[in-house]
Amino acid sequence: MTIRVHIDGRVHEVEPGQSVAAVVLNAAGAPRRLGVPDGPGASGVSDVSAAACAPDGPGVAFRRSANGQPRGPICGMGICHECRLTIDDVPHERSCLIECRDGMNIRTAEDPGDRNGSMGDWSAKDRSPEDRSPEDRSPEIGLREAAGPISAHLDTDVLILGGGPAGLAAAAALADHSVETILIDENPSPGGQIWRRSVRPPHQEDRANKSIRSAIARSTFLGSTTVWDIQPRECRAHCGAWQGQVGREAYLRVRFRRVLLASGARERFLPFPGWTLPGVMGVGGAQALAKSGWDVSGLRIVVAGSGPLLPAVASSLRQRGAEIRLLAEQASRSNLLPMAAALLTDRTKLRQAVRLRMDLGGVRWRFGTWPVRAEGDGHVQSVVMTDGRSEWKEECDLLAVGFGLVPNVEAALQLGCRLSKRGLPGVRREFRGRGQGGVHCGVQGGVHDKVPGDAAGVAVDPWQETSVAGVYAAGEVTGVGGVDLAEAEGRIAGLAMAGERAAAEEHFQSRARGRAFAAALDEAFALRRELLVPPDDAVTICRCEDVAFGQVASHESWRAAKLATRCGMGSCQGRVCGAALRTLKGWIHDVPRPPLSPVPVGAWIDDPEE
Amino acid sequence: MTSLTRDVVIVGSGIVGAAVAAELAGRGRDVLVLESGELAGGATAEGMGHVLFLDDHPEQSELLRVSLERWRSLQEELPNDAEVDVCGTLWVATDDEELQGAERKAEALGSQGIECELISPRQLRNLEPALSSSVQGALRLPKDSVVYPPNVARHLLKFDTRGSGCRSAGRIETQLGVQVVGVSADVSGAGGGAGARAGTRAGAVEVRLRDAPSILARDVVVAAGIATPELLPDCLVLPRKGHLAITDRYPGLLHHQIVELGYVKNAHAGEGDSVSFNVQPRPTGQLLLGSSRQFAGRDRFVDPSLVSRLMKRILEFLPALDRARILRIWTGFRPATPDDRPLIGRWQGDGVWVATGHEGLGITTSLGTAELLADLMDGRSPRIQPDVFDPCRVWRATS
Ligand SMILES: Cc1cc2nc3c(=O)[nH]c(=O)nc-3n(C[C@H](O)[C@H](O)[C@H](O)COP(=O)(O)OP(=O)(O)OC[C@H]3O[C@@H](n4cnc5c(N)ncnc54)[C@H](O)[C@@H]3O)c2cc1C
Ligand SMILES: Cc1cc2nc3c(=O)[nH]c(=O)nc-3n(C[C@H](O)[C@H](O)[C@H](O)COP(=O)(O)OP(=O)(O)OC[C@H]3O[C@@H](n4cnc5c(N)ncnc54)[C@H](O)[C@@H]3O)c2cc1C
Ligand code: FES
Repeated sequence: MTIRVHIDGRVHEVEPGQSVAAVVLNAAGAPRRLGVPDGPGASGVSDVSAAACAPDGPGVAFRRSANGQPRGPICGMGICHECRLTIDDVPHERSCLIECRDGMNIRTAEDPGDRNGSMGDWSAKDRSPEDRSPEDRSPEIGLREAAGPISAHLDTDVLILGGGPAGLAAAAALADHSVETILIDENPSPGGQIWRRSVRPPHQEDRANKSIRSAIARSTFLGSTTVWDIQPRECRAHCGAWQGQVGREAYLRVRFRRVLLASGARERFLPFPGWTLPGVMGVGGAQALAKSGWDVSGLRIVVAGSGPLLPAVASSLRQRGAEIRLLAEQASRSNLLPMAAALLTDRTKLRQAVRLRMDLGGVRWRFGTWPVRAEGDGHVQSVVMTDGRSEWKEECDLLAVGFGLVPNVEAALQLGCRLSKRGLPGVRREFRGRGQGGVHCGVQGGVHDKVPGDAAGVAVDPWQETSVAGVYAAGEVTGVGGVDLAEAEGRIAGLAMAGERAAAEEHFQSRARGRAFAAALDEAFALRRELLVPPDDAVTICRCEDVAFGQVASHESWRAAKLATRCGMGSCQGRVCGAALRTLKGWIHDVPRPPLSPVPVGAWIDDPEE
Repeated sequence: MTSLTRDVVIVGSGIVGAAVAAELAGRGRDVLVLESGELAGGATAEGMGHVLFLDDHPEQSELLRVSLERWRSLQEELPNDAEVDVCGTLWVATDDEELQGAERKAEALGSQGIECELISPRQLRNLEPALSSSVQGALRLPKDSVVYPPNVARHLLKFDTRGSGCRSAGRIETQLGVQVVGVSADVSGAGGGAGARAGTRAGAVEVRLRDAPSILARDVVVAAGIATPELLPDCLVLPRKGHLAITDRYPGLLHHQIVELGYVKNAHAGEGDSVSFNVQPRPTGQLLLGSSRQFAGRDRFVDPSLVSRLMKRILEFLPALDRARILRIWTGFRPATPDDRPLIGRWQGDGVWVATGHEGLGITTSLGTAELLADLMDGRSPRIQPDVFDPCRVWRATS
């Protein structure tokens, strides 16, 4: 079965379940056939209109930035807001989170009628309303007439925020003890970052299916639902597919007695010249988009950055037909040795590692190597790599780059939960040999005496309860540690919330093992000093507002930089630039203001009838 | 600790402190601005930045007129990041009573020489197609504008983050992260009598700092916004909380700052919480949505039920915004006074001056405030009648 969508006025046949971002990438033939006549038949998307043979497809610019640069998705998980498109006349929709629906009308920045946010030079100084050009005064409103989202009030004992391995494990444990649970996730289906549903899976992930089935069969799962405000007893959420119907919106209020935060982590992006070019994506981002139906076959890909995600994603992209040009890990081989030793003590992990190594047979794999800059005309075409001694160029259609993960602590901060020291990036190790405790990062060449806590997670007690009573946290939100640890923490949290402390204790050992392994990973993949050196002044740091690093560098704090330059004021509310500046300058977390994610005006109204 | 170390110290780098600093420096004074937080990070960073003429405070009309005259010339020199947009204001009427109010207002403004025009419902559809058809008409003030206040303050202070303040362009030095903990007049005990002019007076004002030696200054201007009573205990300034929201970019959706004619009525109707429709298109294409008024302490908590009322009110005027996305909601505190008039002038004791209490109009009236205060400090007879702003009225009223 296929469905039809319109992309910039052309009809495309797509498979149900594909994300809008994936079909737009496919339809553009992007990035592979850039500048080359676009033929039909990028698999999964056959363009049924004659116009499809025109040399210019819909292009690769999902949106244009504040200054008019082309942009495409980077995170693939709803954080970066770079994949925004106008969908069914509603501007600024995060296309990576939305599934295609028959008859859907999708507009990219290539469509002249699109009003997705580019303002060009916004000095409006000399223009009185009379002087504005007719386009400026266009009566077009660009917003859909109110389609009547429904309002619903739900009630539950336990709310779980996040349907990844931690949330699912907790949901299953709670269901085992008949505790009423609602599980909410922004993605259409459960699974989180690692087990997200694959539109065309290369192989079935049994463990994922089992875990998802066991959790979902016995609790309420609300997909495509974003929690945008959370208080100790109630949260407000925006559902884009009420009762499974894509496009049917609901404004929800969920009352609960206890809540488990299982909001996971996101990739750490560090700015370098060219990182805003479409075709530069996160490692997890590329993976997520491929799983949601982006056809990567034939693409030449450089996978770079740091962490165990790199080989895993390289292998999965390769299985989907991509050519992995280079796999570049910034950590040096010698740094990884202690972790290899830790692997030897864990049979499952060892087996996974060996299998990965085999899957990646023949792939060029380099350690102590990282990207210097990405180049290309409107789209990435090559990346300059370095190993610290020399620089060289790699041609590619896609640069997948991410420097480890940082926990999504915004909801926890809104609830007032304390953060922990766990999960600090292990930068310290890099410097041990140098006889100095400090890390050179930012503040005009100054030295922080502390390691910047840019990856601090939510602090929890042995039962996974946070510093706020009734608020629990499990999984990467407490510090990055991988799927096994997340499941163990989720199970413990679920059992503890069900009052089954003895049963929960049975999982303490596997949690301790997971945490020890996580600590070994932190050490092994410590960011090298070269990556913590602030970028050139001209490099964009705030992608949402097009603010250059040089504009913020001399300010004394995050808030000062924000007030003076707009850095952090964009759609992602500093999720991307704020995280990078925490790493580069040691600037601390802002207490997030509501909403946790952009939400329509109508959603704030308690009871529209009243 | 007996030697004068500074000519003028200003406490607070908000728009008021910055405007006074620029004015005094322009008159040849040597100014040191002390700020405990970020540059212009108080109310000046929390508000709307609407520079407008209001005729509802007749006793302030001179202050407003002078201010707007000064804004017009300042705007010529403001850099792009001050986001100046002369978009005009539309005061919209929803019923006959408000429509008649608009007509009266038009007459009153006209007689004061303020440019304005009445807009018919038909013209309105053309000017602002997004407005609800229930709007009966409007009054347009084409010369009103919007700015981004923190960067206006930065410009007034000629502040350059690379140094600790730039001395060459004007005699202003700004120090951030310096908290003033007390101000005492005439510490040398040898002060001149009342009415003595700066320069002839022998006394000095002590400015006590947290974690740093005191400073002795000839004159001290307290422009500390809602924190003023912490330094001058009898100086009654109350925090009046407001909620604002900023949307994603919807360029071309609105062209004017649009305010309901009921605004002043709602805003100053007693002590209760109120919401009014007040929406501003930013030069970025974003919309700034406001606003609420309440006396609710200094807690920054975003009140969901008040936001709900506010959004409902906004949708009554702009139903198309139902789907517009809000990126962020925040609260701010207007420095309010019991009689709704700012406090501008000499405080108890020689050499101590106050400039605060501008409530929801302080961006607009900051420039006139600076002129008035500088005139008083110079001993010149001011263009703006000073009596109604005399700060001593608040302690006379309380003592
Ligand atoms: C004209 C205009 C346009 C704007 N446009 C945008 C925009 O496009 N996007 C946008 O995001 N914002 C925008 N803003 C918002 C604005 O810059 C800030 O959000 C505003 O200054 C106040 O916001 P806030 O209350 O969220 O405080 P923040 O700016 O977040 O600052 C509050 C600070 O106080 C600290 N703090 C608060 N309470 C405590 C406490 N109890 N203990 C310790 N520390 C505390 C916080 O950590 C934080 O650093 C705009 C503002 C204006 C005036
Ligand atoms: C929601 C809202 C909307 C508004 N909309 C508008 C509008 O559209 N148009 C308009 O004209 N006005 C508007 N206003 C009003 C305007 O923002 C204020 O009147 C104005 O910013 C006040 O400026 P200020 O310099 O007196 O105070 P602030 O900006 O608060 O400056 C005081 C400064 O003093 C510093 N300080 C305090 N104590 C000390 C100390 N002990 N030592 C050192 N430094 C200290 C503070 O950190 C602060 O930076 C609005 C206000 C709000 C809250
Ligand atoms: S990158 Fe989104 S706000 Fe800066």
